[in-house]
Amino acid sequence: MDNNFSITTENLGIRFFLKHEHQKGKKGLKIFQSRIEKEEFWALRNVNLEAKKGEVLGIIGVNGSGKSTLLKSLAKILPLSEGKLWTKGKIAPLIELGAGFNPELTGSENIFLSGTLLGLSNEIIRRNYHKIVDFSGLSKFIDIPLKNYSSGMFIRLAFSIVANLEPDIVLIDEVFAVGDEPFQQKSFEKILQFKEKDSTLLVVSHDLNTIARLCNKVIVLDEGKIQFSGETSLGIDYYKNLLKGIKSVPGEDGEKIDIGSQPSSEVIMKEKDSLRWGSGEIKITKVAFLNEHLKETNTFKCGEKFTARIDYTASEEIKNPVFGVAFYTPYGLLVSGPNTKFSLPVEKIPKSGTLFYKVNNLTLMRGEYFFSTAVYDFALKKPYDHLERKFKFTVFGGNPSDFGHIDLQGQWVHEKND
Amino acid sequence: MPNKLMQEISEVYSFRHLLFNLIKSDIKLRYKNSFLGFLWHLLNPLFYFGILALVFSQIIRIEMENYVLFLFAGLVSWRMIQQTSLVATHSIVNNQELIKKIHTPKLVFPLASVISQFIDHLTLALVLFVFLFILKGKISTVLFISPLIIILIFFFSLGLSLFFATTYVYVKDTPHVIAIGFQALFFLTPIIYPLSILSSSIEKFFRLNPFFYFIEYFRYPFYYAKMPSVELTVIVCAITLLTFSLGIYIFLRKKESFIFNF
Repeated sequence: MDNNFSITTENLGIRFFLKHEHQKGKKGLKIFQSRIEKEEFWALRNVNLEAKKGEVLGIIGVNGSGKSTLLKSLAKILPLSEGKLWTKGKIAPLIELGAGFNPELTGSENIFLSGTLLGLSNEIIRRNYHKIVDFSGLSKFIDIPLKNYSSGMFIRLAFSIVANLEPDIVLIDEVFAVGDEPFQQKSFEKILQFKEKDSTLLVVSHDLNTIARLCNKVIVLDEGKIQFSGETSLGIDYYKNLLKGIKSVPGEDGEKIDIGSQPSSEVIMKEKDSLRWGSGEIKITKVAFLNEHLKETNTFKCGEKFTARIDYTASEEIKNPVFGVAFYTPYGLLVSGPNTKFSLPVEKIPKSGTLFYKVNNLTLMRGEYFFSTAVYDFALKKPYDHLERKFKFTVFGGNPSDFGHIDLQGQWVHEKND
Repeated sequence: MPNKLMQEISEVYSFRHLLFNLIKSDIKLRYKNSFLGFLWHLLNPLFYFGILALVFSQIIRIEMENYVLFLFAGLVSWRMIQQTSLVATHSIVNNQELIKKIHTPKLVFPLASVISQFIDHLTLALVLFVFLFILKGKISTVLFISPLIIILIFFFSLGLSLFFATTYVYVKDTPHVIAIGFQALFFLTPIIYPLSILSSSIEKFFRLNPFFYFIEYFRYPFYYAKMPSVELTVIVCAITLLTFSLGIYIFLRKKESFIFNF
């Protein structure tokens, strides 16, 4: 086994027995009723995953897909029904915050109780005690019983304990909406710190925004099986398709969703596609991204010239169509969505043509971007052809310490008042 | 199974600070918010003992040498077993929320419960020691073996507790059955009366009751003031070993599936 892996599973499976209690209208004690029927149910099956040190693995899936069960089995709360699991280091489950809390005890006593529940010694907790209290911001209330805490204070304390005890593996289940805005920010930063300290993080969340910001890799679970494992943005899209009710394969040819996975920016259109809709009087036939030298590419440097080229054909004469494009971040934030309605009114269109959307100075910051394009009627109500986030390009360069998606091209000025 | 036992013991050892904190908070919470606090756990049984002593020495009039001391010694040891088992039966089910959310060696919960009960019982045993002087009982060097007897009672109670706590996960009627069982046993065990008042034909059946041997054994240092016989020692050790083994065996076998049965 590779030494870098802190979690490895092999064909992990968790089986539950669902107890169906048949009430046949018979009255009387349960003990005299016929046997409770048990049905076997595999909450997880054949799960193979690996997570390295310093890696953040996102786990996404619909309700009941087995996400929480997976975390619980990795935390050794649920015994494995089959398969194997190896973990290395101290595991901190942030599955339900404050699970080990006793409301009758004071905050400070609960810090020790929760800490030792994670298998730590009282000495280690004593050493980190001030860090925990400071982080929680509850030093004024640390000696009152937890039952007098507000729910926000309760969660803050719980998070602070786990966050400050330097675990090797952190299992996080939907615990980002912790406390108020400043505390949420603080917890998020703390989680990012884990990453830097080479802890392994497994994150379950329905908040794709969070997943996209945090995770290096994601797995998509559905009905207890890993349906997708790989790059975050691809996984998120895979999951979104799953939500739309399209299971893994859109075409009948058994081909996997090809969104963004094309090596070139050019995408050969398929007739049947979940990411495409419209009445079809106008059809977009080709989309390409061009650089300064008008060469097709899908990588751009910050500040470079960027052109999107859209080829179309029209089967009949359409009046006043509106062409549009849109740029999205991997987790679905619309960065910009310009169209031709007022910028370049098109009265009539020929049988075929090409539209260009030209950007002289690409102000998008480092990262991946998804690209949509569409043609609608003038009222923007009726789609002739709509290609939703079928294209992807990458932007590199820029200042590596800056955050965000758009470079506002601002200037820093520092005036010294000596 | 020995493997599983060693594994659980080593895990409990690595979670020993948790065990300590659980015991500490259990004791703290039991006596919090009452004026007399810790004193209650002494006053409560002492009042009960006092009432029983009054009824059986003055009203029902059991005639024997220093009956009150005989009764106290019996009640203290009975309480060690009964009270501990009754409370520790709940130790797994009451901690189900924890067991569902965090991985800990499950043995810490019954263990913490039993130990925290025994801390109460030990102070009660000290009071018994004081009563030994007040009631002018025989003081002998046999008192030095009392810690050993208490250790045997501890493991016997732990075995019972593990068995009951496991059963409770699967059968929710367990605490009710146990409470009734202990009530019946209280009268069927020679605690408030000596075995000698029974006719020899009934006595045979009373000797089948394992609890009897612990009560009797406990009386040697505190009441009889002489060394217990080898025979009695062997019986008590054997019952302890058997009960503890059975308790821990069932507990270890079932602990993995607790989570599916809450």
